[in-house]
Amino acid sequence: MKKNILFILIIVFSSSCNFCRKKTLQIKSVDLETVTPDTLVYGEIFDESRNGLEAVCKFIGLSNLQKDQGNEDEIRFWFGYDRSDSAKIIVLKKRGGSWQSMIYFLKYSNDEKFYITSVEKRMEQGEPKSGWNVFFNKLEGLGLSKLKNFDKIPGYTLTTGGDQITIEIRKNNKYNRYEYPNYLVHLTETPLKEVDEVYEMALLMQEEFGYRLYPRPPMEY
Amino acid sequence: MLTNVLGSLIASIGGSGATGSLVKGGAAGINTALTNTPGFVNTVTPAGNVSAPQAYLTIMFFDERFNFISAADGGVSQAQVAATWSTSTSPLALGMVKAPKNGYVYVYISNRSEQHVYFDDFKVSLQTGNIIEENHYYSFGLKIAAISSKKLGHVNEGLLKNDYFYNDKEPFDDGGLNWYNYGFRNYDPQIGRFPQLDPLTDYYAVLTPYQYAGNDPIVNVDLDGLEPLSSVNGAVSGVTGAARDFTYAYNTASLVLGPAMQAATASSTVFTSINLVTSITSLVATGANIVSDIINSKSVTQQVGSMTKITGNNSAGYKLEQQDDGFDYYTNIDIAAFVWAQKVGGIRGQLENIEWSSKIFSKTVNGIKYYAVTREGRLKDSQFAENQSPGPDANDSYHGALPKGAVLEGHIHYHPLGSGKINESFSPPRGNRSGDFGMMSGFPNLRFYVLGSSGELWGRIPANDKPRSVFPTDHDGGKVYKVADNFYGEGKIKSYIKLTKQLLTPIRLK
Repeated sequence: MKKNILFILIIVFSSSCNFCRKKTLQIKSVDLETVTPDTLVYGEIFDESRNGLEAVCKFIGLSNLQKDQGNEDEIRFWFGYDRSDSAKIIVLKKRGGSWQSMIYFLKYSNDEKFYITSVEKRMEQGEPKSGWNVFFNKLEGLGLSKLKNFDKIPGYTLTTGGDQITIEIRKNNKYNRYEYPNYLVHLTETPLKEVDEVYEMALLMQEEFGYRLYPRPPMEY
Repeated sequence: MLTNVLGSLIASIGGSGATGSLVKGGAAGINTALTNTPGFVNTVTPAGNVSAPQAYLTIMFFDERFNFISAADGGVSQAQVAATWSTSTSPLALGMVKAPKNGYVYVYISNRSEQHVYFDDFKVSLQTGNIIEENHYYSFGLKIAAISSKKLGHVNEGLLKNDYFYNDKEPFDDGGLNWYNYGFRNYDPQIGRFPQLDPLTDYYAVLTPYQYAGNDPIVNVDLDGLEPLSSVNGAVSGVTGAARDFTYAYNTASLVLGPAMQAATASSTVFTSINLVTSITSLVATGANIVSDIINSKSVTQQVGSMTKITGNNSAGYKLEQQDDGFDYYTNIDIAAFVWAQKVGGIRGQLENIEWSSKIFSKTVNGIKYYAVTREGRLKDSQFAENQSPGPDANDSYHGALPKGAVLEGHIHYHPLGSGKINESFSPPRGNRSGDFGMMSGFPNLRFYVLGSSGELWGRIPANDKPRSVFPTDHDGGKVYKVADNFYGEGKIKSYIKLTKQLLTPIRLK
């Protein structure tokens, strides 16, 4: 009997231990070509963060979408705010040949190890004021198809903490992801053209869809 | 001859408007004092070439209190008229003579031969040096403003900046504090106390943890904010001037080197004032190169008590002061981080809600790796500065350039007091924000430290690095470990690493 109690306790402990949680992605389809940043360590850190959020939001990772779940083009803009309990995700997806927009307002809480335990989610659908064609032309004009991951941008330095933008693009069965950690400093102090263009894209979406992205949420820890 | 010179000197002192009242008042006593000074008597009555005229041009220097400066210390310049008797004229000149220190100069010509010697066309020209700054201090280090002065810089002179003041310490005047940076702690000369606790207070139970120099700044100096060092016992009894500097340098070097120094001195002869310089030379010659490095560094030639710092070459030709690179080095990277947390993070983090960071780098000398930390830097835009600070790849405008030959080893920053949670360390990735871990992931081979918002200093070992032997065993194998805590607290800092005098003593490298 004692052995059984001990066994149950171990099971309970294991299942609640965040360090023991192994987040593995199971890719069944090989149709999708995945292009991730070269530097594995970046990928690990950012994957861990995003996967936690995706799991709670019941998202399917864009790099992991299978054909039967929709292999059409999709773009996700992630806005993460340092020292805030908020995040926003703008999803632009093509379904049945036409584009749709959805924004997720997320407010999450975490345990003492800072793993996200629950998320309050609110969704809004939207249409660009200028129409999809004009909107995408503007995005292209800002270099959507010429994005570079931050470690490929000369002069991109990292800081301790800070907001982050991630852009995931799945197009023609190819997947690309671009990370811009701690990007705010490269808008003013050490300005970089590439970061400025990404910021302009965010402002464009704010203007076109009426989503409030800036000013950033208040500092809360 | 001696009587004549003394009489002339005393008359000069009494009649000089520029001479201080203290010196004037004691002019009568100078007669006796100088008569009993062998160097002075020998100068007045030199034993030159006796077959030549005993006629001399002499320049003697006295310090501000009219103490005679001996020839060995550059206080005498003298030239004999000619090698043989002659009826023709011969030039007599001393060329450019540099005053060894502030004070008085006495120029005279003399002849104690029985024959006449004619001096003609006698000329003295004075080329004054530029006094940039003059500071006087009370014994606890507070500047006596009334008699201190500083030259206003001309537009073409650039920045006239003096980085070293009382006891050769740099000021820490952020926010108008007017403290001195003593390394481990900052010192407030206005109250004669360190505002922070003595990290070694356990070893000095009879003293208050805030005392400076054992509360006796006449006898002691405080080298680094840890312990008083006696300026009397620090020198060999009876040794003065340059020799005393060397003794002090030797003792400090011994303090720094510990067993290595003791081994090097094992074969040396008894350390006396006579063979002082020779002993150090022989130490260097026997392979103790590090001794040379330390002896030549600024940190060991700093001012002791009221002793004047010697610059340039001394009479034995040894250069006492050489330029070091300006950084304090430690033999352990955790110690370098600990010191930063104490002198930067632990203070700034309580004063302002802005993150600051520094880079940690190393230099290897004689196979030993020494660690130092750059100056602290913050983001200039206050919009971001509250929760971000420049990372290890930030440009030099934030942390300053690494010195020549340095290797980047790590990074340290702090979270201001109360800005996070209890026991919070590096900010984690969370909901598509990268946090400190995002930054660290970009530098897998660097070591990172953070002083958390409740005052704990945390370290993070690179993935492929092994924990160091100084770590307690409970941190072995862990990636993030606690180095020390209570930096933001009123109480004593609790350290989880070894803190020894030897480890905590900063070393200067060229």
